[in-house]
Amino acid sequence: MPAPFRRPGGRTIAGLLAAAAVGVALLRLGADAGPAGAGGGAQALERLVRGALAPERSPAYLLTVAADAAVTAAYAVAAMSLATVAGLVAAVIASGVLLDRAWLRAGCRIVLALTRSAHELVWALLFVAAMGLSPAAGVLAIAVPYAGVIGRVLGDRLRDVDPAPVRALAAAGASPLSRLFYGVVPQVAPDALGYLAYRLECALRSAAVLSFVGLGGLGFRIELALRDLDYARAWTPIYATLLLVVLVDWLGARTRRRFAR
Amino acid sequence: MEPVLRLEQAELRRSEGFRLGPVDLVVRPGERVALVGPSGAGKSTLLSLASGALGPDRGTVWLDGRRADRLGRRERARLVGLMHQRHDLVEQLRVRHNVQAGLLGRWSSLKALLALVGPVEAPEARRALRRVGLEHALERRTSELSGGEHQRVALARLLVQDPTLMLVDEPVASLDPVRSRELLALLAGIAAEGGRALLCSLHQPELALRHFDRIVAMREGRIVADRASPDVEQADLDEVYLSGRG
Repeated sequence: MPAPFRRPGGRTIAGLLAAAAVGVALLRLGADAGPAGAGGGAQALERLVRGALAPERSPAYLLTVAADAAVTAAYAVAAMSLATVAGLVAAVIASGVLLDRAWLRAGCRIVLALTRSAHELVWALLFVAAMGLSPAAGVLAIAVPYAGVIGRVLGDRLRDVDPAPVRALAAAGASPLSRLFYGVVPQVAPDALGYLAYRLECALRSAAVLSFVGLGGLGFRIELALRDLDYARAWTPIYATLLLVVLVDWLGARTRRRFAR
Repeated sequence: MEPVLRLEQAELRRSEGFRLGPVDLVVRPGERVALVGPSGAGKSTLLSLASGALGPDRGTVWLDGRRADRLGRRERARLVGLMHQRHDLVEQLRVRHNVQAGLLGRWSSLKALLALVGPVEAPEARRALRRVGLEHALERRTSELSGGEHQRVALARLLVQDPTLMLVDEPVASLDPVRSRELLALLAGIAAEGGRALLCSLHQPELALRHFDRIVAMREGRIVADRASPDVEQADLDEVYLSGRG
């Protein structure tokens, strides 16, 4: 008995179209990269891999890279401290948990969106132009857009909180601030902390990249090495960045577990 | 003596077309009143009106002789407390914090924050939990408790708040018969000890008759009967539940 033929449904067709689109895009990319893939590209790739397998490990250089890591970490922590405070304030305003006024919430969300509209590199160029090549410029360049992201994400989480326990607190006579501490914050705290830990990780990467702008740190060290085409010296700070990120990720996971317990 | 609660021609119209009232109701100090009626009769809405959480569209709510809408947050917390069927407690907090929340009407925001984060003596919370039989749960996370234990913690919070009128919404709807009787006995006992008035909505008329002095029956947003328990007959209750919408 022949099997009945089933007409493909809408989802199947959409899936096939999407796969076809991706396939065409990849083919085009391959075609464009053709000349670069052959010859010179392969040599550079080989040098890159060799550098990765044998990074510069002399004690003097390791010390230098460690100092760079400290600088990058300092930038990241400073920027995150500012961004967290500003972001939390913005989140409380944007969510309306303390004071719910439509114009206030809308205004706050617009400001947050504006801070996010430029990448931290763009902000870095702006701040460096305004205040010269100073650490403050680097810190602010990360802090401003990060405050925007934190404010937006945490603001949404605050707004999505279960209102029933908060109403019960109001019935017990709690002030708006007490309702925030007892009813709203405990509901978002574990997720919020996890998110902030993730943002710190991102801040580390941003700080490493920003140091290309000349502010000192791991990115600057990588750039110096690459300028001399010394891949071995370039990979040491790259590994250091990796270690920093893994460390922060681990710390974040631990903090989340402790709070969720 | 001034009644603890008086609803005077109170009316409320909800968006879904539901309408409560007009209702007239008086609760005197120390009275234990059960509010019975089928689902959708308006029991929860009436309790919300009485607590001041909702304002009536028409009519007035009086608490201890004063207009409820003119009372400040703290004054109202001293006069009336409302306990819901579920979802009153903050699951992520420890039991101690949830019980201490009953004092938020009296504490400043700073003291509230310190009690939350700092190591603090909690004698009131301890006493209240002991009264409901949950002293051992003081430091446990609220999410770990059973349904019945949740109810008792909410009751402990109400005890700590110590209002003149306790409003309780369907406290035993999700409990088995044994736990239901235990909780209602506890509730009635706590009300009696403090000379507090109690207005409690219930599904089960038998429980109402057993633990309360007075029965108020509601149907379709109106009060249809208001009698002392000894005067209530099974036929009256059947009429409230069986006629009209199921």
